[in-house]
Amino acid sequence: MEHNFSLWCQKATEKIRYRPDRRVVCQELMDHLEDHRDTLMEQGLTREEAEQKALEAMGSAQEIADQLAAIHRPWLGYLFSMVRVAAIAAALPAIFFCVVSVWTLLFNLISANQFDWVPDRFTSVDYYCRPNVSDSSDGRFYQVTEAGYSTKHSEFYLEIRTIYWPHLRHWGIFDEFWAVDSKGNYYASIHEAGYEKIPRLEAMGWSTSACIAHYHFVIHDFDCDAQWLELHYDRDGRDVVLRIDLTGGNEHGTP
Amino acid sequence: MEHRKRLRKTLVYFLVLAVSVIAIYFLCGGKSLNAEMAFRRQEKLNMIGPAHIMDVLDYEEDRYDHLLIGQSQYGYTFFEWNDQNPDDGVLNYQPKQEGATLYCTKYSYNAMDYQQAYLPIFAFSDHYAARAKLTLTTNMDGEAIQYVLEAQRSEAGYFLFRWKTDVLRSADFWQIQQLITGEYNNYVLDSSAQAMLELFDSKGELTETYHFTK
Repeated sequence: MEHNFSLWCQKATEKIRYRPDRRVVCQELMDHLEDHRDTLMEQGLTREEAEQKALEAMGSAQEIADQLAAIHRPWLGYLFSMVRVAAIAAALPAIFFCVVSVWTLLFNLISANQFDWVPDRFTSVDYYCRPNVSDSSDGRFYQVTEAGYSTKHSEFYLEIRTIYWPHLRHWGIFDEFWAVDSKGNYYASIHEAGYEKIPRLEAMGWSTSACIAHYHFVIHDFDCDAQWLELHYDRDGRDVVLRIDLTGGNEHGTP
Repeated sequence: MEHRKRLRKTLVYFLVLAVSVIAIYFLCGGKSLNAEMAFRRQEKLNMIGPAHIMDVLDYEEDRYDHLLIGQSQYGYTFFEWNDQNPDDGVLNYQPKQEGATLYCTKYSYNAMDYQQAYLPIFAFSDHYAARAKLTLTTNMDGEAIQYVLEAQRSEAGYFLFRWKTDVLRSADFWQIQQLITGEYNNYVLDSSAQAMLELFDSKGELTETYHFTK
């Protein structure tokens, strides 16, 4: 007879077009039939008689099916399913990209570069420091993570790290950084110097990840007796200043 | 009740979908939806502005279709882009100088038509003037040449001088570019180029004169 209950419920719900709703309504009807059967059995009927009476009390499965079809709204069910699938399909890659971005952000924040970007011929770095000076403007954060010089070559190397959002890369800003040192020497920006042979910052390259850019500079003919070097960015009213103290570093060329 | 619960859930999922799509768009370096968005993005990348947009010119250079002119607190911005991909546009910045500021583009306008091609030179003044005259002096191998250009004030408030390039020597072109924008060109051997900007009021009276030298 359970089998009859099941058949009756399936017939009564066959016109519900949205399948998940059909299953739910079918289960509710089954529960109702079983409750009614149990009540009748408590009143003294046999199981078969109680099931028969419960089915008769529900009426025609065909009529129930027609009534349910009339009140059911499948469009919301289909919309719900589609939006749910789309949301999950979009959320997974979004979460993945966010995790990757945060991971690379943290990785770059804590990693020690140790001048691994300096070409082999400049390995005679005999003064090294990690200034960790920073400044920010326009939602962009600039930090000097490494600095050092080679007395043999009179060259100064430094790395500026910038963290910014959204995920866009641009190098033009670094062409506008200029510098002065404690001896009053002026080092022109890449943009200002152009091809002229004047003391200047020179780009050595860059690396990037999701939200971090590392920009590498070298200053030729650097005065190694300077106590500090100050980097400036001052275009269109901005004022980014990064002062590198050259008195507290390591003279052995290691971090 | 079930209907309302489903409706609420649908809206929540829709919100999740919208936020995820936007996040993916930006995390992947999403393309600008229009030229102004590309311009504002370039401003942020270059740490310039935000500029007030003065004008947009149709710019028939072989690389770019349009030129946007903006004014920020300390300078002027020039954004050149083509319709296919505004994100490939180039932003240039010219700091304001006291009294008057000049700017010229790197490439000539209407360059496809040699007879019509000209180098646009923009002039901005702190004081109102109805008309302006720009005298350019270039030197090559000791030979000085003068070019005199005139322009009326545009509705946006700047002067646009059209320096016809079909009569120029290449060195003149580069000397003036170097003078005005400071862009070094290693073909420039002589840095004695000069520019003189004269401003006139609506009656034709000379009101201001500015000299520009290297």
